[in-house]
Amino acid sequence: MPENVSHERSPIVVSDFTATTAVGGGREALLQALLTRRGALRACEFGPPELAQFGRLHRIETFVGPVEGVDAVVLPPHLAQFDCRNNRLAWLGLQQDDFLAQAVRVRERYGADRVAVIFGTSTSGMLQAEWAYHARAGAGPLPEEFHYATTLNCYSVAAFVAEVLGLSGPSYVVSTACSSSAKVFAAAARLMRAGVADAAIVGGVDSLCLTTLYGFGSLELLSPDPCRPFAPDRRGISIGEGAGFALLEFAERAPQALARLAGWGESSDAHHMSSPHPEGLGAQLAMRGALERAGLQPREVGYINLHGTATRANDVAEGRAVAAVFGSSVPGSSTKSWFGHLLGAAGITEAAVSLLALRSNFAPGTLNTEEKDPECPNWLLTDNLEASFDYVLSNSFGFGGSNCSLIFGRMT
Amino acid sequence: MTPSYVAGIGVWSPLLPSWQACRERLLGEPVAGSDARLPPADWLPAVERRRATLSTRVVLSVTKEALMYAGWKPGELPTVFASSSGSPDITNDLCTALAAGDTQISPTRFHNSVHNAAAGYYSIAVACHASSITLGAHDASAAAGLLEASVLLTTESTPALFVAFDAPYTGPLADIRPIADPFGVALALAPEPAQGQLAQIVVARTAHEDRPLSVCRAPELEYVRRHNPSARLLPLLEALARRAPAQIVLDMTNGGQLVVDVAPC
Repeated sequence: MPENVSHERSPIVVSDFTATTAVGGGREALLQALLTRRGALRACEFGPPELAQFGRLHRIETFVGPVEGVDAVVLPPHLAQFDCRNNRLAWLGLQQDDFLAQAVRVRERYGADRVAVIFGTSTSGMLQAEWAYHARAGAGPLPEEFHYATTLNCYSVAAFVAEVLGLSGPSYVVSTACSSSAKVFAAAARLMRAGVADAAIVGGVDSLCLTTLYGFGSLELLSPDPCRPFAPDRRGISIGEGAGFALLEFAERAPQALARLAGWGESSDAHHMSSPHPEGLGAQLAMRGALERAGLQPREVGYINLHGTATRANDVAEGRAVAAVFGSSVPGSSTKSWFGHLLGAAGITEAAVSLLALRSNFAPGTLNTEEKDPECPNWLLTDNLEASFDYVLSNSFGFGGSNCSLIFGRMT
Repeated sequence: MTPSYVAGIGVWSPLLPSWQACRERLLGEPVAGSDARLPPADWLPAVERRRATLSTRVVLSVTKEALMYAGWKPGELPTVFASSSGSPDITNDLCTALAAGDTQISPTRFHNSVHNAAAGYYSIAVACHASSITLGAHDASAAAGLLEASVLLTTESTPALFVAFDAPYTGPLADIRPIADPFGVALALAPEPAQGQLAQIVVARTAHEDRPLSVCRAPELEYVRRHNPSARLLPLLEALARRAPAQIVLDMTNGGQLVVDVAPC
C-alpha cells in the first residue's frame, strides 16, 4: 500500500457491482424491473434436463424464481470440472455489466495475490450431488462425472471465481445460511483493514435444488402463490436463485466509487435453529451494530431493504426489531417478491438493490403486497417512492440465528 | 497482523479425546487411559440435544473445554467456525432420501444441513448473541478460519473463540471424500497477554508455496492430520504442547500458505 493510504482508516468503497436474478442479467435489468414493478416469480416446474428422471417426485405447488439460460451455459473446457448449476450461475453472472473487465482491472492494479476472493453460498453444488445419487440408482459408487471438490464442497464457488479471474489472494466461502453473502462484505473489509488484502471481490451464488425446495416444504414455509412479504395473508417464501458480485477497494486508490461501505453489524439470535427470536433481538443487535460502526443516528438512514421473507414469523419479528431501532421514521420494503428468496445469495443481490436505490434516488415498494399486516409497523412501502437519501441499510438473517446488516453510503 | 494469545484449548477426536490426551500423545508421553466417548452435549436443552449431529457434539465438547481452560464465560465472545463440510452425514441422508423419491424431508435434518448448524447450536447452548462466522475452504478450511480469527482480533481488539471441526461423510460420498474420524479443536484467543496463557501466535498469509508444510512427528498423528481437514492444525497443537518457539506452515487456498509463529508464554 502507498504510504498515504491507511488500511486501518481509509474508507472502503464499492467500485463496481452486478447481480443476476430471475428478473434478468445485470444491473439495468434489475433496475428496470424494480422501477416498472415487474416481478419474475413463476409456478414451480423446476427440473433441469439432467433431472428429468426426477419427474416421479411429487410436484410442489409453489412459485420460484429461476434464472433464465442457466441450463444452456457451457463452461469453457478448462473449467469443466466446476460444472454444476451453481457455478453456471456464477459464470452467467460474471458476464454481466462488463464486470469481468473491472475485476481484471483490479487484479492488474493490486496484483493477483492482493485481491481477496470471499463468497457466500448455502446450496453450493447440491443439485449436482442430488443428481449423482440419483444416477447411482440406490447402490454402488457415485458416477465418475461427479467432482466433489469443485461442485458440492461449499468452497467450490470461490475456487471457481478465483480460477476464472486468475486471483491468488486469500479466499474462502462464508456459509451461514441466508446471511452468507451479506457477511462477505464484513469479512472482506476485515481482511483489507488488517492489511491482508488491498481489494476484494465479494459475492454470493445460490441455485435451485431439491433439498431447499422440499426442505422448506417440510417446514411448511413455501408459499403456494408468489410471496407477499408483510401482507396479512402472506403464506411463506418463494425460493429464487441468482449470482451477485461486488468489488471493494480503498477510496483513495479506486478509480471509481459507486458507494461507500459505511458499516456492518453481525449477531446471533441464540434462540432457535430455524425460527427467529420473536422480538427480533438478534436483528436489533445487527442493525444497531451497523449504525454504530457507521457512526450514524437511525434517522440518517433513508431506506431499509428488509430481509422480509414473507413467512409469518420472520416478518413480525423483523418488523418489531426495525420498530425498536428506527421507530416508524424510516421507510422499508422487501424486494423478495420480485425474484424470490435467494438464500445464500440474498445478501449480495439485496445489497445490489440497495445500491441501485441509493444511486437512482428511489425506494422500491414491496411488490404483491397491497394490505399491510397490522402486526407489522406502518412504515412499510407498498409503492415505489421517489426519494433521495444518503444511507441505505440492508438486512439478511439466516437459519442458526445468523444476522447481518449492511449500511451503504452515497459518495459525497 | 497483531499477535494473538492462546488462553485456552479444547480438542476432541477418538484418539485424542481431550487436550490433556492430545498433549501427551503429541509429546510421546505415556497416555493415561481416557474415555474416548464423545461427552454428552449437556449444555443444550433436551430438545436440541436430541437433534444435534455428530459435528455439533464435537463442537460443543471442544468449545466447552477451551472456555473452561481459559476460565472465560462465553457471554459476548465472537466466534469463528471453520469446516470443510459441516455435517456431512446429513448431506448423505438428504441425497439418499431424495434419490429414493422420498420428499418428506425431516425439518430437523433440513436445518441441520446448513454449514453453520453447529454454530447455531453453540449460540443456543451458551446464550451468546455475539457475531459468528462459519466458513469453508475445502482442505484449507482450518487455516482460513485461523486467518479470519486473527484478522478479527487485529481489527476489533476483541477476544474470540476459534473452532475447526470436520466429521466423516457417510454413504458413497465417503469413497470420494475420505475423512477418517471426527476431529475438532477450539482455541480461546485473546488480543492481550495475560497470566496462564499457553503461547503467543502471529499469523501471516504468504502468496507463495515456498516453505515445506508442517507435519506431525508421530506416524499415528500424521495419519490423523492427513485424514481430516481440521486436523491440519495438529502441528500447531504440537508446538503448543512442546512449549518451545516454532514456525508452523499450513496450506491455504489459491497457492498460499499460512505461516504461524508460535512463542510460548
